[in-house]
Amino acid sequence: MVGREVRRPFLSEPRWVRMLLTTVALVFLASFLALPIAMVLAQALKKGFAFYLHALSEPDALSAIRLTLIVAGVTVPLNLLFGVAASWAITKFDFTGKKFLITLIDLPFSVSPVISGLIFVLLFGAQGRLGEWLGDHNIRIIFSVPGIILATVFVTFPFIARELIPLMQAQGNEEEYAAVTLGANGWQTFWKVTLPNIKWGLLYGVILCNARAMGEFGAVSVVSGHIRGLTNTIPLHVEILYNEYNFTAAFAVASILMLLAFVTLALKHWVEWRAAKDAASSEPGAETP
Amino acid sequence: MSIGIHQIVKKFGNFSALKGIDLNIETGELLALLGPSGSGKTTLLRVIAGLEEATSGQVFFLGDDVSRQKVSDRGVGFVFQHFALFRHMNVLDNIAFGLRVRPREQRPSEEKIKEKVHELLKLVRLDGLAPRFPSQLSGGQRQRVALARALAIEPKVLLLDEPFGSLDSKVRKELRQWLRRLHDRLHMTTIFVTHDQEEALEVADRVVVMNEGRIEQAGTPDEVYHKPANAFVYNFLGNVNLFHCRLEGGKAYIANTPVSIKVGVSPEAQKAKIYIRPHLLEISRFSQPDSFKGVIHFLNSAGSVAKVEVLSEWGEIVQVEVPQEQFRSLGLKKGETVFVTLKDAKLFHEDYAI
Repeated sequence: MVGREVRRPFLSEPRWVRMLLTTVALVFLASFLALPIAMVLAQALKKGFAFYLHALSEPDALSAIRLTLIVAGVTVPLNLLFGVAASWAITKFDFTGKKFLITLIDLPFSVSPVISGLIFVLLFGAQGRLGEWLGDHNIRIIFSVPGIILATVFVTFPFIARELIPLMQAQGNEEEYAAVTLGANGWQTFWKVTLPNIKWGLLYGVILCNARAMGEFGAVSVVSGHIRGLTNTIPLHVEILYNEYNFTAAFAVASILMLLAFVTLALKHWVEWRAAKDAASSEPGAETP
Repeated sequence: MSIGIHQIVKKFGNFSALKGIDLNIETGELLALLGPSGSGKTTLLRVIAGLEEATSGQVFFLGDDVSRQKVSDRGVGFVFQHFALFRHMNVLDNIAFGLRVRPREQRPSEEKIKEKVHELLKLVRLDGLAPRFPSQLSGGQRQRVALARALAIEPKVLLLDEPFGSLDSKVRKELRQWLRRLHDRLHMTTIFVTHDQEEALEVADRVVVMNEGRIEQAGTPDEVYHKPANAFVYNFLGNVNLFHCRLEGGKAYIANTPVSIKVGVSPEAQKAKIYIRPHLLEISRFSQPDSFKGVIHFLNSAGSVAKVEVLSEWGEIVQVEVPQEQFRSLGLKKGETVFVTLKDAKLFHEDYAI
């Protein structure tokens, strides 16, 4: 049990230094976080609550919300599968090219999202070879929903794998070995031993992945083509409204993303708290006589 | 169940962990694999279990080649060094795991499983702890849960990797005597790995001493202790003093002190090493035939015997263990000059490298 730390006078700074640091931190937070949030809300509700609701229930806005949900609904399960498979492979097996795979997983983090989008435009767009073939067969990827999903999957795939790899490395393979000697097959070992041990890390990864999938702008903007009511996600819809000087509506739609951010934060906090609680109860040092 | 190990070689890249192991283990035997870290003892145990695949060679269970069989099909009970209990399951679920993962037609009813778990908990003397989680148990309790979990699948052979390695010395002494009694009751073929010679000699029917991927000697605790096959075994099974000596006319000379011991090496050898355990040296105040002179360098009489370090006339520290009674009657003090006699020593060729 970690008790509340006792303040040791000889280790703490003078009172005015503490006050100064706290003030700086608070002012910074207020001006860069609280103020914008208040602004978004104030702007969104400027023309009254009825207008706010109207801005959200207007067909184009509804279509953007629907598309964002579809994109996240497809992307997150795909990356969940990929993330678990990749971290399982990396932490439980030895194979050539393992280091290369780890580097590849990090790639979307190191590439600008706009470039990520451009890759898909070049790959599947009308000017590419593949694009010609796709055009002949009447398959649309760029400027349509599949392209948006592809770009989002690409941008968000490191989240879950990155979360799980260090966790699974720290846990080692002994419990899995034990399960196998007791007669469990690979599938049983995964469901009954591995998954329960990584569930909080996995959930944390899913939350981050979902937040990014819903909020992604750059890559999606390049591949979407901004067709109103068809290929606009929430962030793109906000941009269009803003560019049309429809500020109140833009802020109203933006407030949905803000709400998502709050929900994500709360969930993230809850998962961390649960994981810490679980970790504390399975601490090897905690012994009863 | 008898186990046959035939020419097992295991390589990790360029490193040979096992260099051709041959060993037969009788049904119902309690065998210790003893050796320093890196001797290959754990690798051998994992090869027997199937957790590690041998580079070449075969493992036989009751005469059947199981080398290509999967771990889950071999029916071995394996107890891991750090127990590897499932941390998210309580004791009951941990022990029941092996029964619950069986295919439906072989799986006992949930009632039978619970009955079996409680039987096992009684056997390992942990009744009443079924709802606890591994984190709520002490090291010794976790060890016994791990053992009960391995026994639940009614294995044909029980394999234990450093079973008492991570426990404190008092608990490990209790547990190893308990393991011996348990084995006498169950008569299951059991192999355990240890680096603690005392543990191996005390618990096992037969001890296999390993070093650098090879078996140095296999025999009863008596045999390996009293008739060591080579210097390594003698050295590993207890504290020793090492003297380099010259052989001449059937006598051994340490520095220029002649020592009369039976020369067991070939007569043309010129140099040999004498190994002698600290309790086989005798201290006296007066010169004896074949004794050497020294100065007392360090004394420690806490323990069952008094430990005395003597700085010999050729400048090496020699460890001597003196019974407490004799220690008191001699009244030894630091800095005093004494004479040391060799009561029994082992002679090995100089060229044997440890």
